[in-house]
Amino acid sequence: MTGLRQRSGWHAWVLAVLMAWSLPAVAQTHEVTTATPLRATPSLNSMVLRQLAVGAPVQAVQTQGGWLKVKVGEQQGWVRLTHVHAVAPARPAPQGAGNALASLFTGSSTAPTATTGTRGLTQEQLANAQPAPQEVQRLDRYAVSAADAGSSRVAAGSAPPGSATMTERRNENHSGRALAGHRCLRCGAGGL
Amino acid sequence: MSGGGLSGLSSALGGLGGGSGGTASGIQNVVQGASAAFKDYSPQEERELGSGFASVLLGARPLVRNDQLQRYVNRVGLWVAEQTDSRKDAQGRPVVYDWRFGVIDSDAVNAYATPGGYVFVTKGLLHTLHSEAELAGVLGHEITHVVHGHYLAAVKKGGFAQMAGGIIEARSGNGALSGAMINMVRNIYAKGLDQSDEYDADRYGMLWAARAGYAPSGLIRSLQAVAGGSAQDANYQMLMATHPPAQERIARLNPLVAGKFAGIDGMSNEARYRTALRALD
Repeated sequence: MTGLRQRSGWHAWVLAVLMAWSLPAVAQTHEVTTATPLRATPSLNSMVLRQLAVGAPVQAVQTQGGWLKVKVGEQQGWVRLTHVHAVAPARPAPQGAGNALASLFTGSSTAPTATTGTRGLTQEQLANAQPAPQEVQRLDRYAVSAADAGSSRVAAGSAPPGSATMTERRNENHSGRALAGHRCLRCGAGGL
Repeated sequence: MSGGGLSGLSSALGGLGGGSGGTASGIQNVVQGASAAFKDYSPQEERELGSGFASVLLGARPLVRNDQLQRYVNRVGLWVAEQTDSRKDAQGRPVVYDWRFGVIDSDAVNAYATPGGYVFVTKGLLHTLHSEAELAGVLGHEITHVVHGHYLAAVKKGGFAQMAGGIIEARSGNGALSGAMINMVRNIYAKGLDQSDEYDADRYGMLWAARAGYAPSGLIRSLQAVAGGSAQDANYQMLMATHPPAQERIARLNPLVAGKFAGIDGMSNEARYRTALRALD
């Protein structure tokens, strides 16, 4: 059992990643930006279910390659990812003073209101910025090793701890940086 | 060293020319312009210059005080950065960047880089994105600004070469930056980079993220997420003032994502991204 898992570990991991990937994302409203057909499958050769006009609202279901699966009313189908854009970014409402400021920006003023004292990073705050070398030094404590970065990269959320990871295989097979990239691309894409 | 699946990708990228409207020679010009800018600085000098840039940027807003989140962004960023093609220095040795990634404690939606390998995203941007693939795309974009020398090109183009020399001298001697040097850095971030460099960073950012195993659509998804912002919102002011419209950037990536990248799904890691962001609340 253990032996089997060791051997098939990374395959199981890739499968788990792909399965997680195909789970419906949080439905987000998108708007059609280029008139485009709604297709039955994510392919240019697939059946056209209906035409979508510019401005048509659609609900995003999932992405696959350059395609987005969407719901239009009761109908589901695929559109080119680049032919829609999200209309309302899913951002949590700003807290405290942020709320008051946010409501200011929806008013009639055309110039962004000064936000000195808030946590923006505006032109004005930049114009008053004084060097903070201690903050630059602070970055060192957050730095990670290449091995750490690699292992976290491939041990996707759903991978069981201890399963063969990309880093392990990378350590076995490679030392070069570019090769790591090759390997991963194969696993993430070409591998299946 | 090379070969395998990626050579196809790399040639796909080269073969796409300048996206919509550009030509292959357009890309060539961008790359040559960048390597010309690199010639003026040793990797050490570039690093000193970058630490001066970072110091001014972090003087506007500090880093988020959360080690867990900062390390998470460093892991994603370093992994993407490791996928870049290495550049040779004047002596023909490969330039190795000591990458540092940081989350700035700001509700503004933006990301920044400096020469020499410092890359920053804001907390506001992290809240706007939905997955690790989107973050990887954004970091890939910023990483390209570093490895293609876009900030060095901006220094040169702005006529700031002498001032940049002053920063390098000050930083290597642990000295303070003069008012004029600080002003130069503020100026560069307020003005932003060449628009062609932004499109270049989009194309290559997508490539690095794809090499790292992420969904190439991540960068497009991130642009779609920020496209929902308003220019009237102070949190989007800087981003919109310094970058081409998100819709245009998406349109220029279309040939890539609908072409050679079309068959590549890659990871999106939404759950892990959400978990990492919980540290912010």
